[in-house]
Amino acid sequence: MASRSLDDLAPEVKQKAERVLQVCDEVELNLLIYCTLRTLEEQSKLYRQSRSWQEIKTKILKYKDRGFSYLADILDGVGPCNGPHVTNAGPGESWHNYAEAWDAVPLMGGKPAWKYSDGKEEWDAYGECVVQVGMDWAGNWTHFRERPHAQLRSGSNPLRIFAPDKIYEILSQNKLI
Amino acid sequence: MLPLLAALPAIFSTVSKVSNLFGKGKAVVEQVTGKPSEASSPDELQEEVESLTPEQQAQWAQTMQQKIDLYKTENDRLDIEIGRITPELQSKLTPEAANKIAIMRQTTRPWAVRMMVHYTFFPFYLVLFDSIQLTITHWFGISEARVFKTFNYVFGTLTIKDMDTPALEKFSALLSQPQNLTLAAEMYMNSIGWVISVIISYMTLREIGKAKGTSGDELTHQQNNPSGAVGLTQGGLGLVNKVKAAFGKK
Repeated sequence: MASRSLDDLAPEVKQKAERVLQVCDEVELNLLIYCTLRTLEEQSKLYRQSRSWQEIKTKILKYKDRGFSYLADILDGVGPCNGPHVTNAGPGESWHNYAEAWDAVPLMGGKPAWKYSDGKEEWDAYGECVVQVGMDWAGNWTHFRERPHAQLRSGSNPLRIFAPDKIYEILSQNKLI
Repeated sequence: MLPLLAALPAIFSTVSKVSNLFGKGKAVVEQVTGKPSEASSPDELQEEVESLTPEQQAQWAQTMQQKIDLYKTENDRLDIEIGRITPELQSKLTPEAANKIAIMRQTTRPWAVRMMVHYTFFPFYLVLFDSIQLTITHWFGISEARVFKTFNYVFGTLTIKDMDTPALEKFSALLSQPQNLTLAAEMYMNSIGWVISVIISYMTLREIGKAKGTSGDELTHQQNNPSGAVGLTQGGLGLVNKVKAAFGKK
């Protein structure tokens, strides 16, 4: 289960999240941050739980071919897992794995306004907060708009953006590896 | 996440009433799970979604809600463009008048009209298709390739034996002489008049709507309460402006 604690975020991201919450409080916008960190091990377990060993082996080889041996080791190391199919993302393929992203929803009358139409102004205000603190708001994406999602760096899949060394450096900086 | 999951029954209820949304629901399942949906009915789709993880269900619900919102917006626009028939108004009409209006509303849907316009041009599409085939075989020198004369197959043989007679006259003769008509051509000739009438009626209704204008219309809730970018351009002090002001202070 992914964490919803701000303490699990990378220090810079945590600071930004706190600033967002502070401003939302000032303007009387209730905001709930409901997802912060999902560790590489958790992501690996979820990825493995609906896949055959053959599929896992292929994924591990892909990681190794692309220079992500440390992610291949994590995927290999969590061992066999059982459960339904829950994700298409392997370890390292979501910014939540790097403690650099959060998901939040505005609350209206104590209830989350999941629908944009239920709280356009609130969603826009939340998006403005995210942008103002220098994060990338997925509500501005054109391909797959995901208004709750905010991340420190741009790009949907970190492994497609950064080289293995850079990814390793980010994970080390965030003390996740 | 739980409240989003709680919204699922309402989403399923809407999806089961609109076939277009059912198709979109299946596409979103594929988008979320990476595997194509095998549902053949809204009930099966519901079972399929309920078998997903809470996270995937939430993602499905959120995406579908956006699609439903878009659908509602489009239909609101259609209501305004075509003329809003409320249940109150319909209850005051005679059954015959209500039926007429129902037929008019169906036949003046833009998608239906678009299809009718294509239908009108159907013979020309066939001619175009035949020309493309001939061009391809000519350009690529595939002399042995078989060219399907689709126009002739559907409407009867159209050959220009006498080059002195204009092609248009021959085309008109082909469709107007009863002995030349195939069943498809006969059906086409019988229906085309109605189709053109519907298209003209639709365009007339639209022009009347445009001429009527919107001067007497009341502002919608959204226009009365601008938010986000609209609020900014209209100088309103919405939440977004408050956020900007809050960040501007420090």
